[in-house]
Amino acid sequence: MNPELGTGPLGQARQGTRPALDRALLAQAAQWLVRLKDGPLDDRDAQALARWVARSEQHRQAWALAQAMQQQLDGMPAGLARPVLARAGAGADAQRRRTVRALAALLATGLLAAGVQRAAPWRPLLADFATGTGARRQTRLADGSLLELDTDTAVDLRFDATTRTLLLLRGEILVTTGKDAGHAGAHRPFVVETAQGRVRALGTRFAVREDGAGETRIVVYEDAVEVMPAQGVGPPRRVGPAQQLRFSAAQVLQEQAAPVQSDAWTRGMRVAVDEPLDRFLAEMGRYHRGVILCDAAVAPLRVTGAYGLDDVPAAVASLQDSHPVRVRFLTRHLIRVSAR
Amino acid sequence: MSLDPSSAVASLYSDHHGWLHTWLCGKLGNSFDAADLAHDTFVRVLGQRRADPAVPEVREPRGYLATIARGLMVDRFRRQSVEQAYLAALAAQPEASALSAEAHALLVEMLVLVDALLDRLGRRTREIFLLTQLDGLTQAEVARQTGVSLPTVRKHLARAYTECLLLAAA
Repeated sequence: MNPELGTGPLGQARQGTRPALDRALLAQAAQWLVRLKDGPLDDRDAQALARWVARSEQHRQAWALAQAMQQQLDGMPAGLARPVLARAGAGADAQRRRTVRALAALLATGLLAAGVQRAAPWRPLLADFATGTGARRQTRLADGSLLELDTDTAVDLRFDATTRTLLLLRGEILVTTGKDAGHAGAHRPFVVETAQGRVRALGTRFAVREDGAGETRIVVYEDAVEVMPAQGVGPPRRVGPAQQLRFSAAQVLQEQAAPVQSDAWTRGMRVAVDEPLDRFLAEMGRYHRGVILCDAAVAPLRVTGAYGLDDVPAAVASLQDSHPVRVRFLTRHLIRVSAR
Repeated sequence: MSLDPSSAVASLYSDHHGWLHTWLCGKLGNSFDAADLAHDTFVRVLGQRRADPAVPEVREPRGYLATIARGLMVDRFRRQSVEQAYLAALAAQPEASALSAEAHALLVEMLVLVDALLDRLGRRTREIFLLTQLDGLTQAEVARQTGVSLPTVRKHLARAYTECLLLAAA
């Protein structure tokens, strides 16, 4: 094995030229690995192994490969490997069965819990409107309202005779309410519901975000909304234009001025103003299927500027032009930002 | 991906790419993932043709493309599932911060391979492999715990190691 060619995750040589090792030989090597796994060999077995390895060049290579592979496997940290390899649903059959069963259960309840798995393939199929990671979508509703969905978002529609309701299951939406002109009779109230409570529109343009961690955040762009936490007591809280408010199921948490251009995602951009790098990368990461790792050393660096959301890897890589960072693409999904 | 206009893959692409994308939209529920996967499918087809130009003409192109796409979908779901479980494991393991980002990446790659391998071999083999390789039980202890005989434990373990070696030797 030529070390300069590098090795893969299982100790295999990459792009080396080697005569094919046949299955029977590898099966014998595997038997020896099983013997060794149970403890050191006694003298007799040790000699038998030495004779087996010496039988031919192929035997020698098979054993070298077996040792390298065993070393790689032994090098797996059990604390990380076990929860992954023994996870519920590991195993293709288990995954398929769980998907069908889960689908039936969710159709029955009609509402997904906030903690829905990101990777669940059936999720977009259930909600009335949904986007995958990195996707955005715009749609005109029957009452004339404009509904915009950000990345990884799922919304259900519940328009009936008395109310226009959107159930925000996950993610962020921006709503520009329509006059409800086509609907006979009184103008129906427009409400967005999340796991934390209700947001009622008193005017035209606002965003609602459900972060999956027990908080809903709203930003009002035009006119006002009224917020009522699910377990809240007392009158609803009114929020006016250019204001942002976060609330939990129990209470209103914090109101502050809305960040600059927080609706830039509807135009495919993210605007950062003196934002810490780790928070910036966490937000950009919502549009990227995978993980963006930020080293602690560079996390406090500040980012200011407008960044495109349609090509997150390129946007993150461009940080190298303006900041003392190094951006590396470790796999298709893992990006690492560290000090230069 | 540039295609020689006269190549078989080019005509496969122009005749069936639209259909494949629509079919995948139905499976995945959104156009972005469908476009991604359709692209990967044709890259895989191209790779196969380059590796073995003598492969005969495809008789059922849509069935062929769907089969490849299904395999890639399973791979993708598996990778997402492994990565998700890995991130959850990282959060619960403070000593994991000692690993470099490269080590994390390589470990994830290995876990994806081993997970697929264990899937092929079945639930029992997976259990025996994990008890031996990760929990460090002796084969006698594994036999007691799983209720199978010692020779059977060794057979399962040997099969797992053989498949792993075949992967490593490829």
